[in-house]
Amino acid sequence: MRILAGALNRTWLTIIGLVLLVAGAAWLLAAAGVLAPLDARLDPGATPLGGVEDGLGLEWLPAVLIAAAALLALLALAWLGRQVPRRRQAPTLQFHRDAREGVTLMDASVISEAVARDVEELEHVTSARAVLRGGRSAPELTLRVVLHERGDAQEVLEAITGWVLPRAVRALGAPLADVGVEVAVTRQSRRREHVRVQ
Amino acid sequence: MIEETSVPPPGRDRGRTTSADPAARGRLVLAERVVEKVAAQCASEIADVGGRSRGFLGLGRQGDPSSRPRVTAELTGGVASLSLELGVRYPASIEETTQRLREELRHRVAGLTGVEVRQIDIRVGYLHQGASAEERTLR
Repeated sequence: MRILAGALNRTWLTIIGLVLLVAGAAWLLAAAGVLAPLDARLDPGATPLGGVEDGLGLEWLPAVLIAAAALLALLALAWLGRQVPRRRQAPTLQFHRDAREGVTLMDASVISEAVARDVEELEHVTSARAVLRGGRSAPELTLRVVLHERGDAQEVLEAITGWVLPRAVRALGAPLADVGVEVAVTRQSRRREHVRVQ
Repeated sequence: MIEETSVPPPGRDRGRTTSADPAARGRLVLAERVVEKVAAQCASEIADVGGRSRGFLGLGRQGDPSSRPRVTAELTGGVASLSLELGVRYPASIEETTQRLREELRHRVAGLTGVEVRQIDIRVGYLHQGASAEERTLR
């Protein structure tokens, strides 16, 4: 139902891992003296940081370090912000044919709620949530159905396919490009005050 | 602010003849609210269209298929633009229902008030899934 930043996390962790791996391997090679023939400063006995004190006195260095730290902090915050799960629900749906005659608008959540209520009418369904994504011409529907442990998941899926989805398609006036159903099982049941007998 | 528009009286000269020019006999002035009420009533008579219950001080308003939709009219001369907030019975086709409503409103509001309706903006606020008008619930 909610989209996490999994791909972004994998990409950045791979990049950071590779950078650290290369740096660690270089450090080990330098410490073993393997890189000494390439540069005298890479000799294990050399003191490559000997002249650092002179460089620390540079006037522009603190400003550059502060700017670099601020940039890193912003990148880190942006990455942290992307960890918040997103629903990415479709924006407002448009149903008009000719905007010059007037527009017809409906929030995607309105039909999502109607679909969820339809699912909750099914036998042994404790609760349901629906999210509609994509545009009106190719909408994608994701359903999360919580089923009582006595319920038959196959029956519920058949009812969703045979009754719930056709109603949604009829209301939308467009076929669903993609449908995802997530079924969870619970021991809690849902009592109803009404039952439809005919 | 109340906008008003002057329109020729509909159904004039019905059943009687007069030699005087209607414009010379007087003017018929309609306020915005009149057009709004007429449009709301016409919309509520369309199948699959409903409004919202009043609630208390605007709070607790719920979808009510037997209520009239909320209509806002904007008059410019003899032409009106309408904005409606309504509910549609689920799973009726939203596009077909609102298109039918638009055509019906344009025709009926013009017929009843003499005001031409040019643009009708519709916002569907809820989808009604309860019993239809023909169904009843036993308690």
